Amino acid sequence: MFEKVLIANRGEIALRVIRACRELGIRTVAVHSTADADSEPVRLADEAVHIGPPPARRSYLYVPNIVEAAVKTGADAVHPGYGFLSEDPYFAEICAAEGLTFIGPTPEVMRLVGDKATARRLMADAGLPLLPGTTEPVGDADEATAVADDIGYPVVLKAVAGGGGRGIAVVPERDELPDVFQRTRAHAQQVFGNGALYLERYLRRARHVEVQVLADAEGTTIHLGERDCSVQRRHQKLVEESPSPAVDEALRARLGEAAVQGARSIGYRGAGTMEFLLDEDGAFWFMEMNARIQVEHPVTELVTGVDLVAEQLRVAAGRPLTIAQDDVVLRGHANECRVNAEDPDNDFLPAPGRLDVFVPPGGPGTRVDTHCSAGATIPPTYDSLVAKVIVWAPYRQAALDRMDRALAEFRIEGAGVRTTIAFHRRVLENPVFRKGDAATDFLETHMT
Amino acid sequence: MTDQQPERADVVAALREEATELVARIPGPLHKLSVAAGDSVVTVEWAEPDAAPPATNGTAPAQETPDDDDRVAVTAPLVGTFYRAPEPGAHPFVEIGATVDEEQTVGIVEAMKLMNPVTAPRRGTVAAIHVHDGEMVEFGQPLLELAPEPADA
Repeated sequence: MFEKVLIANRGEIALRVIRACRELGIRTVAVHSTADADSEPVRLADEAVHIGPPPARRSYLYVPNIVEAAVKTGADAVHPGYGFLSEDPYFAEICAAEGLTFIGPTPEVMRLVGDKATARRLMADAGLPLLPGTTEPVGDADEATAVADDIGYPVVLKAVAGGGGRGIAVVPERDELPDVFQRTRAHAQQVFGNGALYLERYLRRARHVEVQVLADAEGTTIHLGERDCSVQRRHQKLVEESPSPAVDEALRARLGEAAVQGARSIGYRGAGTMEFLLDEDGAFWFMEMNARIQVEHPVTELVTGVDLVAEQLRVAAGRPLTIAQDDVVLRGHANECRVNAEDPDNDFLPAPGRLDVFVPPGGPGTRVDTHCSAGATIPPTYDSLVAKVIVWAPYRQAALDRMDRALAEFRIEGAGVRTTIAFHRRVLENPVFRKGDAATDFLETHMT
Repeated sequence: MTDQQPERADVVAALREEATELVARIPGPLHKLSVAAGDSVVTVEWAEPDAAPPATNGTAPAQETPDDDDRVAVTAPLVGTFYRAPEPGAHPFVEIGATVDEEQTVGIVEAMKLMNPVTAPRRGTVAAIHVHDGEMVEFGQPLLELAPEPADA
């Protein structure tokens, strides 16, 4: 097992990884920007290295300082968390070259999966169902139009290098395509450094159902059930749950088999997620693969009892998975709400600031993953996630009631600080959501 | 006894000189000073300075006099290993008291086998050196302090 791991991230996920390391007896090194010098991960880690000023491109994305910190502190391995460098093959390569084990898939697998058009092609080759679309980037608007005419509208244009729900643009009808194409290409070029786009049929009403997979160095690949992440705003997930109200045992087995088949076909190692869309007829379609631990991983942890980050550390250290597929049983129901420092009454504009009051909920079946505390300041420089509230209960209705109870207890106050807590509670009491019928059009259709 | 008095005066002078020199060299603010003459005692006590790595190979960090608002800290622009000289065995780029020009190299931070020069942000004299040769440094860590150059008469 590793003796020392450097966590190349910040906030709640850095804390999550530090906790898993401590439980495994691994020493930890936290890297931080100037803005996070007083943060909880820095306090809890055994060592900390100041790696740069607040801007991410000069700190959490600045490979030389991070690698140097790992080498000089004598770390054996690096955990990239999610976001930042977690899907950067260049970073994974440099780590390997410097003798550091990167906790995640190999650079080659990362490259394959990170290009979404390539991922589509590979999964099609592995026999997974795909929505009609291209498996190569489309050259220009004319080519896109020709393909879209063939598939039928609406279609969606997606950046091959996109991620986190960004670089996606829906084209409702033919004459909008050239314009959306140019804008999306320019946007992708600017944000991801790669303007290549692929095209897919767009399902207006579908459920976003993703399957958690784990694979070890021996190639043993298992799935840990699905998470339903249909409640999204601008393709950003807000609420996640497991099991999905729309998935029964038979469908779960088919989704799981497809996910495992896909992961195995590319030699995937570690924790990963296969994203699918479930359409109104109950058919599922491969969307993309996320080659990292995800924000909503606690939902799966609570229904399966498996510590996904600990499994990541073990697998990276060359150990086999601690569970077999037959050991994976989904018990009860878990639900997660991402509490962001945003003002839901003002178009979800970021509303960070100093936290004068911060009292998270507790009690039965209630887990809060957060790096924040009273007196801390949410820096404006990074994402707006303040805390993840995750609850477990024996069945779905109880979990939703428990989540509402937990959110009602959560006190967050500070000058100028607004959170999405009240908004989440409105989602939870919405009859369509309560019934388990929320699809990807839920927010715009039922919550305006 | 009269011929002891000049001797004694010498001892006192010597003690005073010794005490003054010691006080000038301590790395932290003075707490207590005692001098005696019979059986010659000099005691100096000072407070723990803010950054005081133990001296290893003779290149100990030098003192700093506190409360000097005109001082400028030269900080590490990246994470790496700080070196005081261009290569092992060579003379350090600067010592305490050296006058440096703006952009003059005062040290190196090595990272990933690349040597990155650390340069003076402005003209001045080196008033303090906080980091040992070969020590790992973080981004923003103070390496040296420059005092303004004494004004020309």
